[in-house]
Amino acid sequence: MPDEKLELPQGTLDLLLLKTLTLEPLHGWAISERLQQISREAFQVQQGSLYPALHRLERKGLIKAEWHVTENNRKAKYYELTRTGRKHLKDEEAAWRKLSAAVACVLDIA
Amino acid sequence: MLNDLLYRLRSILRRRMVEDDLDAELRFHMEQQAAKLAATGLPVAEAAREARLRLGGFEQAKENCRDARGLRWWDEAVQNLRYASRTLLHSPGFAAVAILTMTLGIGVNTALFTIIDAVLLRPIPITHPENYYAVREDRIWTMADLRIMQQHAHTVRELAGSRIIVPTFGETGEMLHGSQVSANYFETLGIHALVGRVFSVRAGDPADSAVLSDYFWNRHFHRDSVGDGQGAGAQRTPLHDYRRSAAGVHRHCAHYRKFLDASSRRPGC
Repeated sequence: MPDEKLELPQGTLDLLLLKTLTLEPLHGWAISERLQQISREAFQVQQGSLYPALHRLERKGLIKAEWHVTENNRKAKYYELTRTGRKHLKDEEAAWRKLSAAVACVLDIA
Repeated sequence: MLNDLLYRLRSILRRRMVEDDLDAELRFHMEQQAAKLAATGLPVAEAAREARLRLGGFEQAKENCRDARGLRWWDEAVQNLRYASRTLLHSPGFAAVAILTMTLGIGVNTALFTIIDAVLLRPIPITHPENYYAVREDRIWTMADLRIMQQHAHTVRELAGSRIIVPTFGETGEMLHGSQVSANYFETLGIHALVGRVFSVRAGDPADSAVLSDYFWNRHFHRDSVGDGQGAGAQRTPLHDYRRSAAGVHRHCAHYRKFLDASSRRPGC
């Protein structure tokens, strides 16, 4: 395991979870693996907070869950973006880009 | 909002299924994690332990998920109810006293509110009460006084009078709550009869007409027909002191039911 793990800023976990689901429905384990790979192992999602976050998103109606069989013939709960979820992701993504650009701007000047 | 509500409701109503799902979901994750760790060369038992640790403890993870599903308030409410009923069952004496106290408290409050609502809060049952003024006279006045006032009052359209009297009724001379009112009283206030009709100046009713309250009518005549002017029930058992025939029964209404058993009319007004 790499030593330098980044702590996720508050509220960004939801955004990242939604983003991982844009291409295809995934189960919790795959989501956590994919997040780690895509971020080049920069952050490891605390597995303890992964599932509560998924259930919270489901409750908000941003994702929905269904049980499917995996390639290895195991039953797993797959999460999928809902239409509201897609829209929410788009909005949040735009907001995040704006924020990070602004922060970068300020840092560059100083 | 609706989604949230349905989601929570489903979580509560299909609790067994939701719990099984949660268990299976987290177990699957731990197994995947353990397999991954084992593939790096870690002994199987060690890998399983590590997987569990990474999840932050199996039961803890489950509890956090229940929280996220919005189930905590429900679980706590159920727990509290269980605890409360256990405690009450252990000390039935205390339970009885507590229940009695609450029953009494709620009962007294309800009764008081009912009275206050009827007497103070509910507006008097007339249309456009804002157009009415009540004038109170402290000394005893007569219908003759009212007539003089009626002649001199030019700023109001109508002036009706009412004063409290205590008629007696039946063989036993039961005392009633009554009001003696001017002939134009019901017209002025726009009060209509429930059965029969109220007396009026226009109809030229005799001076000894009476109108009964719904409550009185029910209690003494068992809602027997009163008739128009020649109330059969009233004739069978006349209002002794006044010997009036009942013209009608006025509208069922708390104020009149409680405070007026019979309204009677005085000659000349």
